[in-house]
Amino acid sequence: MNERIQKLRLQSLNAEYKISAERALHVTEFYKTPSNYGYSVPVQRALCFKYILENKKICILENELIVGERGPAPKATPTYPEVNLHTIEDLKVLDSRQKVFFKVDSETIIAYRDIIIPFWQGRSHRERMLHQMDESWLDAYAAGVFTEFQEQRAPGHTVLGDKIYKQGMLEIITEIERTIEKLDFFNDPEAYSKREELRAMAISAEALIIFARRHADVLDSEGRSDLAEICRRVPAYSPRNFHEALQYYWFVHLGVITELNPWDSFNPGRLDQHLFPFYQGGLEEGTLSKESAKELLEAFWIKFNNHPSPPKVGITALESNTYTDFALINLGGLKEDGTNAVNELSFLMLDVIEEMRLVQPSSMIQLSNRNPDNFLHRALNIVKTGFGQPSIFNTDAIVEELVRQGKSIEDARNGGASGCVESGAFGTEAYFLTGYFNITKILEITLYNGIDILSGKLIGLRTGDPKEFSSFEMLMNAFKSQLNYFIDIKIKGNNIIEQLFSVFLPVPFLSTLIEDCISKGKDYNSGGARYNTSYIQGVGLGSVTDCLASLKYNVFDKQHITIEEILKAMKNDFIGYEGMRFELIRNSPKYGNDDDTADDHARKVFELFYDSVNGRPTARGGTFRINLLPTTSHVYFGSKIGAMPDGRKAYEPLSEGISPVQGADLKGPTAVLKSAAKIDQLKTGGTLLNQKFTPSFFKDEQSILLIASLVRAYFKMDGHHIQFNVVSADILREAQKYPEKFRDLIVRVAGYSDYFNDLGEDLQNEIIRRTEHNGPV
Amino acid sequence: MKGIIFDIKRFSTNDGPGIRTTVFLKGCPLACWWCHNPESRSAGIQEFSVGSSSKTQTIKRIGECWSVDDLLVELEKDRVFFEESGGGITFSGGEPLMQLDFLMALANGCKKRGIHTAIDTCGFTDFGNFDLLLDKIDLFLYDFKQIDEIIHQKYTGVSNNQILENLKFLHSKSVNLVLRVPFIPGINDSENDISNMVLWMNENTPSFKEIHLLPYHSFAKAKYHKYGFENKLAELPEISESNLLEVKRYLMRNGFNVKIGG
Repeated sequence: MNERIQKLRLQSLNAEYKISAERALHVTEFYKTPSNYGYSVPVQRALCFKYILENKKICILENELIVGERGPAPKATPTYPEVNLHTIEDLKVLDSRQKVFFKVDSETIIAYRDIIIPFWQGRSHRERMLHQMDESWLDAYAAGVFTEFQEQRAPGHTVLGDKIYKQGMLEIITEIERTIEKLDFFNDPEAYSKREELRAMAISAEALIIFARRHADVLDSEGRSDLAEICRRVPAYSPRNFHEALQYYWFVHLGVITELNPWDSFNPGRLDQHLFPFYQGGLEEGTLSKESAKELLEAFWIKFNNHPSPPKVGITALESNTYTDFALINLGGLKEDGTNAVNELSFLMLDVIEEMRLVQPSSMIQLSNRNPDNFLHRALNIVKTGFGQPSIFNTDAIVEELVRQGKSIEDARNGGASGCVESGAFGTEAYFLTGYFNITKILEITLYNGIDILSGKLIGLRTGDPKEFSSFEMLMNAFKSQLNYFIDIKIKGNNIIEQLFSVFLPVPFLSTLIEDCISKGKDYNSGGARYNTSYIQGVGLGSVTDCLASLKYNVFDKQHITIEEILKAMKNDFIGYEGMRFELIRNSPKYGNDDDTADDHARKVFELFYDSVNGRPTARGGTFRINLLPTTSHVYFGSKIGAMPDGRKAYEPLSEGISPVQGADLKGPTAVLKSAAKIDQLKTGGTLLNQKFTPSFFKDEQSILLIASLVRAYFKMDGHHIQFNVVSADILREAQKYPEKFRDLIVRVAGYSDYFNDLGEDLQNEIIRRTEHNGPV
Repeated sequence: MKGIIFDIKRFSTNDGPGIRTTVFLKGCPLACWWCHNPESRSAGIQEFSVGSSSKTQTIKRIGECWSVDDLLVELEKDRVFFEESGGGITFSGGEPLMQLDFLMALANGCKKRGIHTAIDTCGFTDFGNFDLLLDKIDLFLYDFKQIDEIIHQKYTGVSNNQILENLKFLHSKSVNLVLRVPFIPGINDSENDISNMVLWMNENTPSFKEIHLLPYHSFAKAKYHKYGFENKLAELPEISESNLLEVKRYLMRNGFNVKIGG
């Protein structure tokens, strides 16, 4: 990387994470102004968005090539009081916590105390939402049965298609106006709400143009007329070259994450595809070289790193305890016509990923049968350097998953994965993640006949005292009843929350970007997208499988331990029952060893979870689906569960993603992949499999070839995703001891990479424990 | 038919091409001082009492009896990885030819299933036995320990006469063969050792050109202690990296393809 990029990168790495009250103050000022009272909700939201972009401080750093910051400075992170109003106590926690902190200065505290809190108290989404949740939801939430993504953040989780590379915002406004003209107020009962939504979209599109021109003015005054010209061109008009295309996306990205705090943030998706025509055109005209393209991409990369995920507190912080905001750049895969999409730019972007070594943006390669091996090998050579990127996805599986969900094959091929591992049709789908679901906790509740053992409260159904279960099937039936009961609670909550966002917090700006919001005259949060999906993310598959396998094997098959004895040992956290615990750990079948006696339970649990959720309608006219990924919720969920029949002690983390319980897989990586492939992954919207390898596995070209065939074989079995942590446990222990020496140590957590130092100690320990497959000596 | 094995190792990457599953057959006619699996020498199932004090002692069983059919099911589990990587199954030990009928049945089963087979052998077996394997084994990983008969006898317990004869036989049949040379300081790493080996090969097996040098390491030390075997190499120094590279260069100058490690 050249000197300019080096400086910008360092500046980004060293920037301080802090809270900026700027946005919260603008939003408050706007909503306090009486002349803004009379608008419809979408128009009000759009005008508020415009007010922010007209008034926020413009931040342009020296030597920048891509400009624009969400806050007044890099990593100065705004808050969204209309969604989640932080208390003074929250701000103090954010300021002082050891990990994933945000510094809060006294001015911010004063602004919150005197202006923001007095206005928003009682009006924030979080309060509105919690008022709406009934006791069964609140009990289940408190017990750690599930989490709620839309408690502190807005629905997001979408990815941009190729729209902005073809259309400027002025053209989009014209499209909106034409749609308004065609509204039929005589026959369409929704004509009014459509008009208000469409007007809101036009206002927000105009707001982005204003925001860009304010940058142009500042750049002009600084004598940087080349950049100023770009900011006058985009987003008003379609981009003419590589630089304009990147800058256009960046303004759009800032728009989306300023309008609300969607989870995940936003994502350019298939960047190598979208930019390729500009890249090729620039090379042909001689206006772009490979080096200048790389410099621009690196400058673009750094912008993502300047924008941490907005501050989370409480359970939301526990389930996703990271600065990462999950913009996942997709490389490779298939073109719309089904041909190989890997191009020169895909390789150039891999160079950028390797050089930048940044936590954000996340990056992945899509690997189809039709993609060449050298693409995979190049990616693995970066994986080898041990910062967990890029992760590797099976394009053919993603396409099949999306088509199964009813998407056209073209829309499916234009899709990919976002966030951690979630499949989506880019530019056409609104897929919300609604929360993690603690499948292992369901078994615990079943074993205690409906009681949450940690609180002693009856929160589930009375499905019977397990001591009276004469067969394993009776236990499974009880488990199924509890599972369906809690899924119902979760889905009821989701449907209310979805409506709350639809009514109170539409996102007209995001709606201009996703097809078919404009033609339907409907907001992204109200079902305006072509495809609408809501996911419930299952957690702890490995753990619950091992618990069931242990019960079946020890209690019902071998009959050498009674369920009464196991329950007694569990209640005592195995203290005084060490011998039994040893037996449960060492001599019971375990998921991850390609052993059907264990893996059949994984299949069964998967099918029950799938049947309970898949295909049910959502409030905005979409469909509920499942996927299996944890972010960091497996640690939180583990902390809400006592000792379990697989020998796991109370409060320890659960297995993550579809990986086996930490240390339970003893037959090496091929057995893990075989076990993981036994669940029908094509029926999900994504699964996450983490494999930790010591560096020796990647020691030479020959080893890389073997890892490559490991990946290809897993994908042949319809595996969705695999990621590699290349680091030795000794190094991690060392890093835990001397964090100051390992400030740059990045590890793969679960669908994303993070600084090892920023992880909580229990998660650090868990990563160390994850089976370390010994490489060839 | 049944046989005794003492381990199955999946994702084995050092015993032939691609991703392999290696099955270790129990029993070995040699008693090499550097042996990494001393618990595999005896042909039967053995029980060792392990642990440091009487309280923590447990019984560890080495060896398990498997039928050919069951074992083939187990070995075939990684077929998808074999196919993707050009891998297969490797028979190791012990000395797999010690259980010749079992081995032939297994190898036959693999061939019927279209799976690539390799054998890791010390070569010490009756004349004629390799002839029975020619159509069942795709790759021979053949140990070459020491050309000097006296030294060979001292460190392995047997003469190398038969081993060299078998090697010549395999050469006459033009099989795919890799020579595996365990590289042990003070025992077979001198200039003399290496040059005599090269001379012999040039004269007797000129078309075998693949050599894997397997540097000795002391990982097995703990095992000797655990199972109570006498470790005659306890005090051996670790390999000198420069000497290893020198030997590699020497062999390459003599027309061999050399790989360090399996």
